[in-house]
Amino acid sequence: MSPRRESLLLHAHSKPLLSADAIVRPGIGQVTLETPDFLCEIGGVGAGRLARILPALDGGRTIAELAADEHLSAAAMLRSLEPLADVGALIDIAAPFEEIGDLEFMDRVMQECRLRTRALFQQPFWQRLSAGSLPPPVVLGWGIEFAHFVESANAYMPLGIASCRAGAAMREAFARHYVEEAQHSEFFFAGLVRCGLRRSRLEAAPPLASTRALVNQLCEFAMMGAAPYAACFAVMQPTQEPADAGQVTAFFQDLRELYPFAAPLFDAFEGHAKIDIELGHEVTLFERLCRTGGLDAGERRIVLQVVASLVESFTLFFEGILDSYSKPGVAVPRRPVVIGV
Amino acid sequence: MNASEAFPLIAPDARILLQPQGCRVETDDVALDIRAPRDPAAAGRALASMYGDTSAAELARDSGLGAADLAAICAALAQEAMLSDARPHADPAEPVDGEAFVALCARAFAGWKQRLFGHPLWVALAEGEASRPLFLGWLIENYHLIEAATVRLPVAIAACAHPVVKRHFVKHFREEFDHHHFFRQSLRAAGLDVATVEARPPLPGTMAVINHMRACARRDSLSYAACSGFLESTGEDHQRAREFFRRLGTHFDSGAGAIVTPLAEHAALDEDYGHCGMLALVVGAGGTVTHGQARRALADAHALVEALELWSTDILRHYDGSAALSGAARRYRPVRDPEAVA
Repeated sequence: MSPRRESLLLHAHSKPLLSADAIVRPGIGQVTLETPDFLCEIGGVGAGRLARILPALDGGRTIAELAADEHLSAAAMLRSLEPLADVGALIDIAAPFEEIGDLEFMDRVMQECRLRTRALFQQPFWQRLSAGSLPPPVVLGWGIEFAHFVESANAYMPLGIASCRAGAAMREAFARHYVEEAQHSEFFFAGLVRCGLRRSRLEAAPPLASTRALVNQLCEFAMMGAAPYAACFAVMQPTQEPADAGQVTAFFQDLRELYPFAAPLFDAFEGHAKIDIELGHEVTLFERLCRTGGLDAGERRIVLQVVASLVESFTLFFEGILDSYSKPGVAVPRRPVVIGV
Repeated sequence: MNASEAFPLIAPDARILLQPQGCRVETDDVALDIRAPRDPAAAGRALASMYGDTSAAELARDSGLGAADLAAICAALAQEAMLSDARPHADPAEPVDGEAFVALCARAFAGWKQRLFGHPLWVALAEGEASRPLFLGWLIENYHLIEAATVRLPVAIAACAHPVVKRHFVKHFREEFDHHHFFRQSLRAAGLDVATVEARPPLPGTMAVINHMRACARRDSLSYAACSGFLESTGEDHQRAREFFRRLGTHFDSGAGAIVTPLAEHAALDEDYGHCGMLALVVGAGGTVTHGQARRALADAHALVEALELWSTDILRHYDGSAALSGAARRYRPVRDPEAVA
């Protein structure tokens, strides 16, 4: 793990935000903090105090304020919290962003994206998917809503290109990315057809309100300009490293075994994921924009708002799939809305 | 019209449950048991295929149910307003009768309103079962939604190509743009700091409603007017709205109506302006409305209802606990799933 940049180190005025997927387990003299990715033992200021403090780290109060409430010095509190920041379980949402360099800002944003998106996979949808307990309509419904989402690249990406005022080179990069994505929904529609669904009905099915909400939000960010648009891809590709093709294969193979009726859909997911690896889409437009330089303070503020907001829209997206397709007797795909005129 | 030529389409939110003697078709409001003792599976096949893309004659043949049994099922579904005929119009560019379209919207909106206000959030508010934070959360998100007239109506005005319709939108905006002050009064009376409320972004469910209307405004004036008509029509049943505010006052407003009175005054002002007649004005002024436009506008209005249901669920989940109102930053979901494996 590379050391954190100086601007990302905690200090008395930091406002720490703990990852939403972290579970705090009090022990004797220390607490254990657990997420699916790591387990961290923290001591220094007493287990009782830490068990009170950690769940309250919602990004709303400074370390100095939190420490004062517990009659502690800020330095003692910092010593206890730094290990959490080191492993990425905690970020400082008050970390400076105006005066730092573009690459430093990029690191800060990517760190926040990783923390916020990690919590997405703690949602009931993902928990039940990996446990093999989702009913068939939810699995196929996921495929359908994901196909709508991928198809929406033809809505928000053209808007992002047309709204980009960051120069011809950046517009070309946006355009190149778009033309690579423009027809990817075909993978998913074809996979769903191989699962036995009728193509014309898939195309006529209205997206769920939660899917529409995500797509419309992406369109809104795209129309706001290059920085908000590019920030969307930081949320969608937060790792900055290419996915491991072997892990991708293993993940979808597990799903094929859990849900054999949807094997062609998982073939589509896997094929699409591997194409993204080949295309190098882990290097996001946001990274390119930051490397080009010149994000002003206002744009940076908006980027941080986009990151928080878009993760919430994805939360709603997965909730919507589970809520809607879990209902017994639900139509898959959804029936169209046609009111006789 | 020959019934066998119809293209049966079951209501989009209806669920079909197979039973030993037939099927049950249900929505959140209505349940219809269809008995088909001779061949329940055939009835299930026919119902499952009612996507509006297959004629009744083909459905009867392909399912093995028979034309008479299928016709009986369709009649029963139609009786419960769970079936429509989605036969493609011979000429989507053919004009529809404007008054008939407005009347159709009014009928559809009445049913959709009933469905929306049957949502657990609205029931909990009306019955006084909502927690205090939930009531306050509803108030906060309503504030954001009303204030968002300033980000949706201007889009409709700017995108509108018809000068007379544009003037109606302008008039509506002139009357509507500052109505969030009613909600500001309510927020203050409820002890909320308006600056704090404004500093926090709306819930994503609230943004879903706002963004849907912005998308409709960019796409088509009629779609926007239909959505607006649905929102305004919620105040059309004035007696029911007054009763809702009276109940809110009883359950949540101990300060002699300081919280709820501004909300009721806002509804009364909209009533005085006649905003519920906006759709009819737009249809009357806008010239020809084609079948294709009319169908799309109704589908967009239906999508707004779904967005409002999503909004209601989002409020219910987010604010049903005091934690949502404390702290400067929002801690949104997810929460751990109690049914998930350990």
